[in-house]
Amino acid sequence: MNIPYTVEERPDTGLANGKLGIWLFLASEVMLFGALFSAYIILRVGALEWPHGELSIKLGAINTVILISSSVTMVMAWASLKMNEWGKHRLYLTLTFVLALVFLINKYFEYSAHLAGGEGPSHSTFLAIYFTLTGLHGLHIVGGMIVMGYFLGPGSKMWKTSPEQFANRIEYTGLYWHFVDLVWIFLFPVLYLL
Amino acid sequence: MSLRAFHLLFIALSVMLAAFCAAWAMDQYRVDHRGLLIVGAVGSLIAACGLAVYGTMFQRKTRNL
Repeated sequence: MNIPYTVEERPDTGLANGKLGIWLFLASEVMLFGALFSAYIILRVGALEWPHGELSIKLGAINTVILISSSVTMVMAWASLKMNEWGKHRLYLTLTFVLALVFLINKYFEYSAHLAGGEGPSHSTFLAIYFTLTGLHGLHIVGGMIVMGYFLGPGSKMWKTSPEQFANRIEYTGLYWHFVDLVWIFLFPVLYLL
Repeated sequence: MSLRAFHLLFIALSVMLAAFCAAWAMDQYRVDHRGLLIVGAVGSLIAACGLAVYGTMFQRKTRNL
């Protein structure tokens, strides 16, 4: 049995099933991160003092460059599929995966430096919200890597049987990845600079 | 919204972030005269311009996707 509207758009919503699904999921993610950002604002406004310069701006800036680059490689992976260039698609998707891995390695060094200095989440309100926001964001990066790993491995077989549906799936992965990168675009100035 | 449109929005926000970083670094330089801050400000400005050029080129080249 075939599920309808996996490739063509539904007449009532104007979207394919997968795209509607990913946008509903991203809407729930906006609420999740929105609630945490609100918690950050309330904590900061209510605090008598707020620490500055506790985080490594250099590492944060490097991670920002890495994530912006990964969004470019992700969109290139999708565009290559649309132009029927399988080899380029594989290259760009692998690059996105590697950039995500480098981001996590950077984050590991950042976390290690704090934890080694006894600056865990219980050290201060700032570090509690820092670890919560960046930890949750890091988990989203891991989730994206699992999906990309699937499409680089067993999931890639679909390209031979249903290329249009496969291209759509890569597009939805790209939408999720851009959302994760967008969250970082807000996290970096809020936590590292202001 | 398609991935193409979302990517363009993302690049526009990245340009704004880079411009903000340049302004932040210049503001910090007025207080703390460290050369690294000037390097950061100039680097951020170059990044903002580079991203804006990339966004324009991306929009033109992927119009038919």
